Amino acid sequence: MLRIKINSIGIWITLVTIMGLVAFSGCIDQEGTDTDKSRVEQKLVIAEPWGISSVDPATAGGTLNNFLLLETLTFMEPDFSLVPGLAESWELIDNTTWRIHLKDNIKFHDNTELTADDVKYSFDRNMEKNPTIRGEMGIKSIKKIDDYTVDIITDKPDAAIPAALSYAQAVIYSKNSVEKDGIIVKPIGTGPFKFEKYNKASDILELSKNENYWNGVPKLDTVIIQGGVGEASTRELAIEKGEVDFTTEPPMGSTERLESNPDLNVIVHPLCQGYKLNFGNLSKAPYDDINVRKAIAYAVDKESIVEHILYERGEISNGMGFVPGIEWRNNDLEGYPYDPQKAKQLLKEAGWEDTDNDGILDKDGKAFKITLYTWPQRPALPPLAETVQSQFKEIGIDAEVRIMDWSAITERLNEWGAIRVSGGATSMRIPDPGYYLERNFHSEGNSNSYGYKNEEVDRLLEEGRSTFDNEKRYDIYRNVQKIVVDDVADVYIAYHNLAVVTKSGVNGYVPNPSAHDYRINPGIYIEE
Amino acid sequence: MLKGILKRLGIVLFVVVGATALVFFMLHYIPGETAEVMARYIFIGNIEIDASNEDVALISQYYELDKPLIVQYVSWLSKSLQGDLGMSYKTGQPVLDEIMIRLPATIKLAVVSVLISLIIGIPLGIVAAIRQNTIVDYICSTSAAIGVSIPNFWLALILILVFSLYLNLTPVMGSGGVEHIILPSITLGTGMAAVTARLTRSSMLEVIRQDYVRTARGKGLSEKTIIVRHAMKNALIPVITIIGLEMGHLLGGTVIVETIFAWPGIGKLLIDAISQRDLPIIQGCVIFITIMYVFVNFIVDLSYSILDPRIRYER
Repeated sequence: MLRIKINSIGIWITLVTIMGLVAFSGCIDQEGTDTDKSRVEQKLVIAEPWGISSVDPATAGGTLNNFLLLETLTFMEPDFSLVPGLAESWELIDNTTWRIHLKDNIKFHDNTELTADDVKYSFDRNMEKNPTIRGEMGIKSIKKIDDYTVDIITDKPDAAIPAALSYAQAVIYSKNSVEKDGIIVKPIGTGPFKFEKYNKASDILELSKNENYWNGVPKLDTVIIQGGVGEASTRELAIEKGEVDFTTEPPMGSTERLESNPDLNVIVHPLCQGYKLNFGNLSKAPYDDINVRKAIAYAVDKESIVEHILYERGEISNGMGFVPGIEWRNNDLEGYPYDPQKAKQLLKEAGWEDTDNDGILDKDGKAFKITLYTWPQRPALPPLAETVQSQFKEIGIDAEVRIMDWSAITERLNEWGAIRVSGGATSMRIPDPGYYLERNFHSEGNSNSYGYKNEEVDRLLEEGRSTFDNEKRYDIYRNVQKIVVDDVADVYIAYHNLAVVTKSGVNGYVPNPSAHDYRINPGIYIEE
Repeated sequence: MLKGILKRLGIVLFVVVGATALVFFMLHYIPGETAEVMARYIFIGNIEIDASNEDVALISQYYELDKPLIVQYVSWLSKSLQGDLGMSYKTGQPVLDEIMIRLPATIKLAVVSVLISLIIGIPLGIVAAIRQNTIVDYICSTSAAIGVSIPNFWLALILILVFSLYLNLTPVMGSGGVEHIILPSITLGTGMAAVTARLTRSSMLEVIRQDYVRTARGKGLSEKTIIVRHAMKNALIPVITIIGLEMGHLLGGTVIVETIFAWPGIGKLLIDAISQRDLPIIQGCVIFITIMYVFVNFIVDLSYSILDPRIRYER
């Protein structure tokens, strides 16, 4: 080895210094996100919990729709009314064909006109690249009739198509969108904001105002989204420092403290999501007995969960996943109020009694020992499961809480007495009662892993899909909700309320409860 | 030297094939069917919504996940050996691009963190050794013990609270500017500095009892010369070994710190890929991390011979 007569420690130190300098110089020539410029600037910086990682509408359609870059054929308004979006109107041609008439004055961000070709291109591409979209929407194919008309062909008679067209993943974009290796890297849409750039290394998406937006010019000039801010405390600290203007879901316990900060606005609004208990298997003991299910439903103290676990970021439900204001919600339902005495009574009727005086119920020598499974990604779930555990103890059910990845949970739900403490699953991903109810309560529904089967419900759900008169449909679905809650197919504990935190200068945000999880709106502006 | 490098390359290849095979097969034994997990994370975009059986079947077929595991692995391996690491399932972009785009941030954070640990750890360790069993030694040892025990996520949040929120000196999160790297690297650096200090101290204590140090004292050299020129060089060899391992570890990513500071490193890429079952990205990261480890340890071996000329690079 070459030997140089210099102090070799010196070499080592020099080397380290050079490495350090290189590292730092590497940092210097990159531009940072300057967030501390004058506030009158109409610029909104958002800290988004989820990573963006791709701007291809086939998989990132929901994100691009929530940030108003891409739009859908129909819109779901914050008051749950379905209004025309890029489509002017729609009509039923025959049982499996919906004819969609497009608005004829809509321009893409590159100033070309929106035509039926773009709509067909978007649908075909979305459905090819993302198989879940076709299955979710029930669309077989799409056909161009003329420049401003397309036909949507469905697998079976489907009254929910107009609502399905507002699905955030069913976004429309120009066939001129820039592709690289078959992946769209610059989506061209029709929304209030245009794509400026996406920096994958820093996960920052930049949008600018679309001066020619067809539905009024938005007030913001720039929207900057920092993706992947997964840590709730980081989002909280970033908005407190003023590094961002808008963020969601600070740590559960922080709402009150943030509300008292005069520089911030905290908006807590309902989402069509919630927390519930899913029985592991409804066709096996102990949950094949409706009295046991009812007892469980009565045993959960929903009020105290909303107050102490959700810190008021939730509301007691009527036993079903639809929040007040949704047209097809069955407002006569009351759910199961907290009543441990009634729970004990019902368990006794079902044959569960504490014969050996150990505080745990038993029947035919079998003790009522169960496991509550839940996952860690949703922060409220583990404490919620522990609370349910202690409430079960009061009625003589000995529950163990196990927290694991949801994929590991699925395999364990067949264990005797297993219950899944769930959260999140939205009831308005597609804003129509059919989707959520079929998913969860049709005997062949995707989410019906617990094996709920009621022939009457199956029949009504199928009837609902093919009934084209909305009044009649909604009645059918209200009926389904009643049967399902009476059957205690699951135990809905509470709706989840979303907390949005903005700087006090951010005005005009209108919460949209049907969004997943939030959608900005063109009316947002910055005030000094 | 050349022989050594060739040998290293051989090891890299062996380790890469071994590690990727291990990871590949293990992934299929953790709960959750790959195609189902992908359907939820990548296509539906919400883990809490169940996918239909038809969708899972379609995805399985499209990504050839329905073939026997060994066939899948061999087909991946043969493509990789030809330089084609495939496309990310999630983004559809080449795996190499996905990794390269996060490489600068990862290297920057690793290098600066190690620097901080050296700058704090080595002087602290030396001082503690020279003043063994004095109050200085106790203070150094205690702070090292505290430094090792403080969890990263807690330190990170406290640093943000103090330096970003109260003092308004640094940004809370993000990447790109010099100011962004300060807090994450301090978070990582201080924990490592504690290890470095402890190791430097004990190694130094051993060295200053050696005969040649006594000889140096006998020659009448100043204490400073003895420590800097004679003792430190030898004492640093075990320290460098640890630094090498830590550097390799940092280059493999630091998920918690990356998550808190929204720092776009390899660690988060890999963890996200694992939870989404983005197999090509997982395998790409494993290859990358393996190469990094072997490379860094190669540099470490080279530096031994600089510090101690008796060690030749021949192995």
